[in-house]
Amino acid sequence: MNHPELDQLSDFAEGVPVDADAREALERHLADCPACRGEVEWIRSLRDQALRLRGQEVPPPEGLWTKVEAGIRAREGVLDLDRARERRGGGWGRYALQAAAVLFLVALSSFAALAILRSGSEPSGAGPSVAGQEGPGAELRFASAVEEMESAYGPAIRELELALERDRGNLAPETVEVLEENLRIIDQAIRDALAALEADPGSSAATGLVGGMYETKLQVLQQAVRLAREA
Amino acid sequence: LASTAAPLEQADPKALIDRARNGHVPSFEALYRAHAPRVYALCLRMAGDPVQAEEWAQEAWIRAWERLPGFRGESAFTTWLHRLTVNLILDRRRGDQRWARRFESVGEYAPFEGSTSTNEAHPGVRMDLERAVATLPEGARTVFLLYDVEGYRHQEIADRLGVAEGTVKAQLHRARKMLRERMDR
Repeated sequence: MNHPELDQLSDFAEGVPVDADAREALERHLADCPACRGEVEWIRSLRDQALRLRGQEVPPPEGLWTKVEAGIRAREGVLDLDRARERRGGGWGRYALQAAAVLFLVALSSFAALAILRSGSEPSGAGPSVAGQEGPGAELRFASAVEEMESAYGPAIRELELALERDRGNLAPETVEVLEENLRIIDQAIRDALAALEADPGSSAATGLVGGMYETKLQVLQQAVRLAREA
Repeated sequence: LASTAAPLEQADPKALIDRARNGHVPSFEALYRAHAPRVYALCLRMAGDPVQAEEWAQEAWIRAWERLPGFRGESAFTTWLHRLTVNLILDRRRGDQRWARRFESVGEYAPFEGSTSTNEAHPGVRMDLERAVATLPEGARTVFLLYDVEGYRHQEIADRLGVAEGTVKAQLHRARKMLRERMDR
């Protein structure tokens, strides 16, 4: 017995229109072939069940809103920058405003990182690297969190850094100076947040801080590349 | 920002959207509280990994914040948010070369023996669809979810993921076959 192609059975099961002759031939085959009939029934049943997955709900991790809020904060800084640009018709003021927004964010992050480090180091009085949860499990969790962060942000950040390197000649030297200062401060904030995470690898607040700072760096780089291209 | 979402969660969704569109973060947080479980479930299904799912959900909500001013209410907010999240995931997948290589590897199919599945503890018990989908290889899982759950067409999936339409069809057949093996046991 010649069986229809799997594509034909799928189309039939899904109700994809085919010409009347082909449909009639397929229906004749299905009447005599339990295997192909079973395949069609399976596809129909699977698609019915699949539709129900769409309404599924799973509670998100607790710290997620904190990370979203950090990203929005970063975005708000960029929006302020755009509004300032409209008011000022471009020019130096927008970079100063961006610097202020970024510095505000980073200052918040550093305070929070410090708070986590302090709370983690109180019981032992030891330094950040041994505070909080100790042992190979904590180290593994920290390494895994760093790896995940790197995999989530690293490629995009490096791509933007390359793009910025290519187009930085379009920007005024003062602008480059401000951007580099911002990026240097953000990198320091990332290091601070990572130290907090290392001290307490299970802390969703520390994870949120690291994610928020990476997100900030990403946003600033995106804005810088956009400015360089528009210049 | 102080968390002031609790009383807002009772507010009219349209009013929340209007306020959030105008930059009111507590209203946006109330929208987040109402819709985050669906967005996260979608990300978790597509990622098959909670860490990746959290990253995508975070990005999806930030993108929603950015694009909310453009939301005109032609579709329901839930539909808009769902589509935005799927599009973000597809954008991320398309730019991920390592994932693209894993996606293309259709040849590594091995019949399911039951030894690595979540029904191992209960031999003979059928696995439900959600758990069975989670055991699929990435390419098969992604195409099944996009086609049979999200309703994208073969060509659309191929275009969005940057792969051939034939590869998408092969991955769909592979997914359905593997799911049948897992769920018929």
